[in-house]
Amino acid sequence: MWLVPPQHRPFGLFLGSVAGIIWILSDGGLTSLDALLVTMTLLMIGAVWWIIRPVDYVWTDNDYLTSILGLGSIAVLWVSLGVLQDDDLLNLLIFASPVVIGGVIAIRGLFTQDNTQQSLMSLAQFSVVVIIIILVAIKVPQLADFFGYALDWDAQSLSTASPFLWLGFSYIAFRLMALLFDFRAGRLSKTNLSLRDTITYVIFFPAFTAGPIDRAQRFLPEIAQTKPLDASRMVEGTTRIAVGVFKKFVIADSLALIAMSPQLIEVTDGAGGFWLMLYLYAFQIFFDFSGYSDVAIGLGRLYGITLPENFDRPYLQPNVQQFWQRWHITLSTWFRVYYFTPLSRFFITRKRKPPNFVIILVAQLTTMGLIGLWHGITWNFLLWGLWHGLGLFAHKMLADNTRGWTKRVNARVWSRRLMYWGSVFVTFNFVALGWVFFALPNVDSSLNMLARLFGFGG
Amino acid sequence: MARWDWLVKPEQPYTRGFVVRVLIKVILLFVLINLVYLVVQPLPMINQLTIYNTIVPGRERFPYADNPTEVYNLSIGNIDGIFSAHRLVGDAIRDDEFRVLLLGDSGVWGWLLDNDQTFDACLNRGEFQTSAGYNLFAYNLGYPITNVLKDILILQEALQYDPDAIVWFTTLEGMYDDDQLAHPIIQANREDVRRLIDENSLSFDVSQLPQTPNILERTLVGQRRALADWFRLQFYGLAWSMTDYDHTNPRFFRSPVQNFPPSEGIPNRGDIEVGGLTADLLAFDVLEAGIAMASNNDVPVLLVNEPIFRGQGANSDLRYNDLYPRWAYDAYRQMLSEQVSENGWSYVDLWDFVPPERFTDFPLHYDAEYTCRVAETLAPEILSLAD
Repeated sequence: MWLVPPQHRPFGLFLGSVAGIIWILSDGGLTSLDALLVTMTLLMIGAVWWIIRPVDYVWTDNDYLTSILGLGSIAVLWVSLGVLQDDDLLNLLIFASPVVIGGVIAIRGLFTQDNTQQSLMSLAQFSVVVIIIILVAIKVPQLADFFGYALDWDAQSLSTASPFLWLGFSYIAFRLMALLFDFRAGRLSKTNLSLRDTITYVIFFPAFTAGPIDRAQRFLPEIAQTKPLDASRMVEGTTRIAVGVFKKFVIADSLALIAMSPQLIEVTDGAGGFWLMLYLYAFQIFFDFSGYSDVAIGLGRLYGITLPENFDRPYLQPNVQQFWQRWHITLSTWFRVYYFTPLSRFFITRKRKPPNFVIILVAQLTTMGLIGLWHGITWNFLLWGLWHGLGLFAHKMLADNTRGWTKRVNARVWSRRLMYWGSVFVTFNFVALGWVFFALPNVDSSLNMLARLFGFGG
Repeated sequence: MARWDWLVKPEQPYTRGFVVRVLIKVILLFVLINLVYLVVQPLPMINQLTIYNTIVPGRERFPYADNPTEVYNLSIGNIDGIFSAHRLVGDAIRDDEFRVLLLGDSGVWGWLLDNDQTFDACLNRGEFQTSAGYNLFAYNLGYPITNVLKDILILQEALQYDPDAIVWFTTLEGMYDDDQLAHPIIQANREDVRRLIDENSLSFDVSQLPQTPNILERTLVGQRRALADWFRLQFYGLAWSMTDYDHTNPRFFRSPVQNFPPSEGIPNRGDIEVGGLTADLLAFDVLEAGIAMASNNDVPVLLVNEPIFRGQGANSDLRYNDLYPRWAYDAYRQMLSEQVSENGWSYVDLWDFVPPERFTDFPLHYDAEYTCRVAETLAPEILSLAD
């Protein structure tokens, strides 16, 4: 990026990110499915941009150039795959492309025939539903297998099952939904939404596969202000990358050798062994995920973008609420802003307001349940989310009812310290026990593991 | 965020000069550490550092795995490394112990058997006693390749752990002279092997061994794989302590073939014509050297011709199994018994002890029940070595 003249750096970021997602999605060799996913990703972002831009928006040269470069990238991808030599597919693309583009324009026209902001709001709502349907389709293993086979011409020609992995879509979907929600809430009015920068925001390649999930209002102004690489950014960026690589490839991958796994619990005896592998897993997943985040943040710094922090000593927190303020921070923030707060507000503003504890319970359980399902639509991820939802609810109830006692405990240094470290111990173990649902493939094996941790079962 | 303040809010702003100085220091440190490593050559010392026998129990058989991540075990070549993970190193010899070391291939190691199903486990469960009242206690020093040179490499190391007897399982497949030097464990311990060949005047062409490592191969960078393997083996020690699991034991496997092509050739040895297997093609000198090495330490050796699968299908009149044509194996047994007579070795021939239906996935691997039967059959012979 530092080789690119300042005025072209945003385009450098855009093209770098497009190339980055092609490289990431085609890991192990480009297939027609990879090309289709890249195409769909770019078209979806284009469609969302079409919806959220102001009604009186005037296309700029940048937008035209971005369209040409984006569509050109897609064309080059398909040509390099050799698919365009196939008459049937060539015809399909020739006829399908105008239909898709025309469809998007027609839908927008349908929703916005009276050109009111309200129509666009409805269209944004409709788009969120479409994104959620796609997200569900790729997160339910059976549906993913079905779509994988249906969409993967290579797999069909070989009559093989296709592992359908739309890498990074969880993050793409959440960034797109954030754009649509913010548009509905009028929070994008002061943001300069060029097509180029919107695409770059959604697929910014350092954060493409593992986050963080940044917000457009914070990210987009940074693109416009990218400066030449200086010593500060070089030191900060390379240090974060080095720390991340060490966390991921040295610590996490070493812990992964013997951390909790379905195979290992099959052959383990004795509760001590189960606790050890549970703790190892807790640290493995932390170092793995936070290592990825460090690399993303470091790469972002090198490109002049300050990505938000995603982890901040989560295992040193004295309660589960603070844990969630320090673990996968951008995901929990996303849910707090776009789901938890609106839902709580909805309940609170009812004429017949439910009791507070019911509001808290429903909001915590559904929020955490959805966070669980975001990782994959399985019973285990749902249980993992509900486990944390219950933990958050219990903490809230306990904290509200023990304020006086907590104040007395905190009055003395030694009792405050004892209280803090005792709380850290309890919180860590609560979180670690939750990982049982996260790491194991089904409910039976998870419950069996939990039983064996406490000396039951076999 | 506060935790990164040290990085993003330095006391003095970062400058280009700072970056250049850091880069220079990194390069200098990299070179210096590799130079120190090159001079000190700490790998043998590192291989002795182990969590086995201290933090976690020693392994009951040498570390070895085709699929490390599934069995929490690992194949490493370095002989110090594999010994340091073994329980033999950590077990102090008891006053009433008659310590027996079992040498051999995958059959002795216990392929497709759990740790409590191997020869040593069977012998130890048998509570056998010598006539002087010493309790037989066996250690599994099998290593899953058929190669007698590897056996004396292990024996040389094992003799320092005060054995009272050695039981050495051999078979024709491990005796061919021409590929003794080709196995990875031999090549990984090339210096020890060279010394072994020199000291025992063995008839091997040492030029087949890889050259002495060059300077780059002796640096930290050059030895990173060996260091990583050492590290992984220690980590797998924790899994070993939790599970006692070190090898997959599948319920289903492919049994040795019963029907053979009408061929009397020896696999991968097209240069040996039918009837052309002679003593000079086999490593009897290695057997002799091993037994002499043990004798020099007053340790008797019991040589065992291990059981083989004998197929009963098509062309079984020509072959015992896909490893052995009948003519070659019969000639080998004849030559081995002649060597035994000439040298006065203790010897048991169990070649047909195990019925064909008891073999598992390979002509030298059989099930747990017959493993114990072989052990029980050998026990009196082993105890007689004490007298």
